[in-house]
Amino acid sequence: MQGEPAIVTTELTKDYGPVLGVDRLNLTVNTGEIFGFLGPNGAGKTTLIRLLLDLIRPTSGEARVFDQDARTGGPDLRRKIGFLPGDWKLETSHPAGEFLQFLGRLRGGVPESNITDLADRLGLNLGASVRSLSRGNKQKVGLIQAFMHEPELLILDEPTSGLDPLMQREFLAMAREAREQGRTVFMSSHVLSEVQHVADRAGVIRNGRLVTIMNIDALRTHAQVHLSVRFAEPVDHREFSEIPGIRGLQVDDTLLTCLVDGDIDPVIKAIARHRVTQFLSEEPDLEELFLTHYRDDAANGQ
Amino acid sequence: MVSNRFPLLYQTVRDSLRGMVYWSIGIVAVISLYLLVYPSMIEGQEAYETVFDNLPEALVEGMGWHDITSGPGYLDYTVYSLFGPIFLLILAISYGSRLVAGEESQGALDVYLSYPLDRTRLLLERFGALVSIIIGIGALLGLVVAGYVVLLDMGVSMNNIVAGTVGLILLAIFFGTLALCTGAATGRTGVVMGVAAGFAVLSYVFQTLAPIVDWLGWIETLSPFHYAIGGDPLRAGFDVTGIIVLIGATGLVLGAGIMLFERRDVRS
Repeated sequence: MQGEPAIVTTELTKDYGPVLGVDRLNLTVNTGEIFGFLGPNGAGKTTLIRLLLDLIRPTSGEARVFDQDARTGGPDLRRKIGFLPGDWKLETSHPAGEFLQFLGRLRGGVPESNITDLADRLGLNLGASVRSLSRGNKQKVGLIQAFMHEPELLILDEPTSGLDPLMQREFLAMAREAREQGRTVFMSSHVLSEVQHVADRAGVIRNGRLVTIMNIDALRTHAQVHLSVRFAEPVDHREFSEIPGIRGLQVDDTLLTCLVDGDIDPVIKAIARHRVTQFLSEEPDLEELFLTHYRDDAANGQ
Repeated sequence: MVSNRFPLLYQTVRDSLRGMVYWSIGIVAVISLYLLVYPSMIEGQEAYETVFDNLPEALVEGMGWHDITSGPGYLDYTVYSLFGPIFLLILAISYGSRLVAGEESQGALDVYLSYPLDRTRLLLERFGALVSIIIGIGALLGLVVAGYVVLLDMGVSMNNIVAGTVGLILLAIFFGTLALCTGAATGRTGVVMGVAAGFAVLSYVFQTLAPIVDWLGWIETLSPFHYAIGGDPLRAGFDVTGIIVLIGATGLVLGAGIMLFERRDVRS
């Protein structure tokens, strides 16, 4: 499913005067992947998304979507995009179904069954007035209008915010299905676990700069594991400290905790020399990697 | 169908219908209030004229009282120079400010502009909706006035009622467009109110003061009111120059609005 990239930004910069929205951002999102865009609030996620949609214009650099300049792509380009904004107050008094049909007409018509199918899926009552909906239900209206025309590229700003856990899972399923159909999902989030569950790759942004891009599959296959082992008798710190790949080793009487990066076999062999009463291994989650990254950055005087 | 060819225009007008009903009720009520007093005005004509004769000339002139006891004079004073423009301008400016700047502050503009709908198209459909709303309410005003003119035998020709009403409608369209385009250019409802409402009040004041303050004569030509009602349409009929100036000014404002809207960042 991989052809030309869906999104390419080159030295993309948006200078808001006192603050930098995004700063010399170079990013490529492949066609047919789910790309998670992570960062705390105010890091520049929404700025990047609004640049991609030509809602705001770059100070310098360029954003290309399906090999067209976002600045000049116009209606033809935006026809291929479904967008969920992060902040949409939705004050109309129309019933949700009528409102979505109106939005469909703005797109030149969307089959009504697309709207009703999505509404069934997300459990949205199309007869209810939009203004009276709860935050979560308004978010569903936003998601439906982003998905209803089956766009090639979904640009979603904080798609799960306001959704209950069940609906969050439903949304993640929708995103996966879109990917299976060869479509591209670009979603921002500050909830790392959801990106970890669904995304192929994740970019981390901070203060407008792209800090890192992580390949989530590679992260998962990369043997990195947290160990927490309780022994029957106290063990010696030195016995483990020399093993390659062991990090953050702490031995507190009979309790050993560490992170193993790489080959786990020598560690297991060393542990096996003692009587073990409890053994716990955990995959580090993205959040942890993410925070480590921030800490590293902070330590480097950023 | 309009709903498919111009979905935004159609929806905007439809969404405004309920509000327009209230505006209509208000207009009919206030016109009735003013015009139903007219017969008693005629009865007391001499007494009024005595009062006005004893007032300073400038005051009578400035307030438009010099001819208040004639049919056209009364209609001009009450509806076409006072309540009509005020009413239609409030309508036009409030809708004009809501349609771009108001939506922008709710984040809805981000959504519409992410659709296959360029900014020029969005602004033009909104302009079309604004014009439709103003024409609708303005035409109702003209109809109600025409009804009372016949009923009360006020001696104003239908042609001149149409001329006066067209003037008011074009005036309201100008200020509505100014509000719409200021919103499109800046995205701030506060600026819209300052520019459109501020200019409206100033030009109304100039229009009113110009006949009595000599040095304001030239400044009157800057006031859109001058082109809408300055030619005394209730007696003189259509003021073609005025109509052309108002339409031209509206076109210029719309053109500038489109240009600035295309260029700027949408506010988040």
